[in-house]
Amino acid sequence: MTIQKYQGDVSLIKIEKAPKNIVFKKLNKDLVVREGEITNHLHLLTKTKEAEISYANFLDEWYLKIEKGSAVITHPEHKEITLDEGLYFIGKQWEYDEIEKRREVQD
Amino acid sequence: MITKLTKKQEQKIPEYIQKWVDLASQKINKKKAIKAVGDMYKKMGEKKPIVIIGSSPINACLLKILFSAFIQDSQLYNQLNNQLNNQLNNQLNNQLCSQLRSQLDSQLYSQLDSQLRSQLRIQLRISVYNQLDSKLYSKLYSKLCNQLNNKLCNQLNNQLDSKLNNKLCNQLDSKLYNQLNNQLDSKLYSQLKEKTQFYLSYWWYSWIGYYDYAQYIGVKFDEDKFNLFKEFIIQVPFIIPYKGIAFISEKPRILWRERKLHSEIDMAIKYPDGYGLHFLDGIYFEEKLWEKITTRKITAEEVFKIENIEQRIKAIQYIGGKVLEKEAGSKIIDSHPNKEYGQIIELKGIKDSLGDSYRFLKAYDPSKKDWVYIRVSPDTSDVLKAQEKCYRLDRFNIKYNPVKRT
Repeated sequence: MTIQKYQGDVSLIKIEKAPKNIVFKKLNKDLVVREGEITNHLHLLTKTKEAEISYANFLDEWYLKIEKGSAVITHPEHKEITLDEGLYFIGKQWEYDEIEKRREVQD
Repeated sequence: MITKLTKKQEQKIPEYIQKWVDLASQKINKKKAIKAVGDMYKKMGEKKPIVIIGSSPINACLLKILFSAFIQDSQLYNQLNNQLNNQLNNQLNNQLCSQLRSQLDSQLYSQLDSQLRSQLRIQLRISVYNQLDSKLYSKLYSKLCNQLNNKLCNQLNNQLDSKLNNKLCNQLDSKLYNQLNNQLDSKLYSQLKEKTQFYLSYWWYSWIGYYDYAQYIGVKFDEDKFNLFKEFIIQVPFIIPYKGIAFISEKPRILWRERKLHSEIDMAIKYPDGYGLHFLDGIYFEEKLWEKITTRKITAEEVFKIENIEQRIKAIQYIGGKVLEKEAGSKIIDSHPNKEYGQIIELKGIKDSLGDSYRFLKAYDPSKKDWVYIRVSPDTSDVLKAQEKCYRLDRFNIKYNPVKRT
């Protein structure tokens, strides 16, 4: 079963493999996964000490590879979520729009 | 090394939080502000600037625009700059400031035309204030703040440091940084970014609040640096460094409710000249929308068509979801047995541009402890499928099955 966690409008999906064309970079500092347009609140990913994590941005969403240790995603309004070792897709929420058919949720 | 707090010291933490929250909206002392800017420039190795005080960041920006238009002739600028001595500065500041301000208030808002703007863009290419701004930043951050921080770390036990971080800094952060600084900064940035570069010092309030408390419990700082840092942050909430001039702004009056920017009767952030921003429970609203919501003169259609979901949720909370759903002719299309996953509702009274009725996934948000309304397509009739569409789970060919929702 795929592990799915949701922090408000952000999805954290543990997946088996990333698309072939994704290029990962080493994560050295905190990563802003998503920022609220109105509130400016951040979904902020912080790696734990000595964690080895790489990431890739894909059309404003993220792939995250945690090879060692773990990462925590925090947000001022939500409880924090811990991600253990594994490959994750970190996505956003979408709404229907009759013209664009789909647009990301504006928060 | 300080390893623990006395009971009295612990009881003082809320007082220090409140002290810095209050200072964020306390009027600046003009003399002290001019001195703080001068001292900071001196520390940067720059000449004391002329300080011009605007009644709001926008006003300070307009003064700077006007000034830059006047002095775009560099020869004139040099001549003017050379003629200004310390004695004249204050008088000139006051005269300039009050005269320009009255001119601006009466004329500039309406007459600030494209010519002035285009002149400004040319001025913006001059990099002097870029350098000043970055210097200012590096001076504050790398020199003052880091040094003060080192002193703090050397004198505070790690455990106590993290305890204080949780009790004091986080609270100051949530209020002054997350709320005030970020909100104001982003709104000002969107309004001023093409016109000028500015520096908003509210960012430092949680730091200086912490240092201030640390000093109270006995941490020794370099007094000169501490005072320079503190005075600058208290007295200079907003600055546009421009050549030999520093345009600064008065502070706003700020209204809070439960640690969030909030007011139903006026702007939650309001400067003396009337510039300000409206908030409801920390959510920013443009004036017209804020007024319609707070006076309850908004229709269900207007509420459900608000594009920003945070504003939509807040408006629904204000008017009441049941009332709005009733007004919009709501009909339940699907309900999931797990109530938190929500319902699909159709609002028969609200049509989109294609003539279809609006449908929403009405799901429970555990953090808000309330319902959120996410628009779904008119053919959506299943809660789980709606969740899958909202998070685009079809990309991974998986069903909506969360192990955690927060």
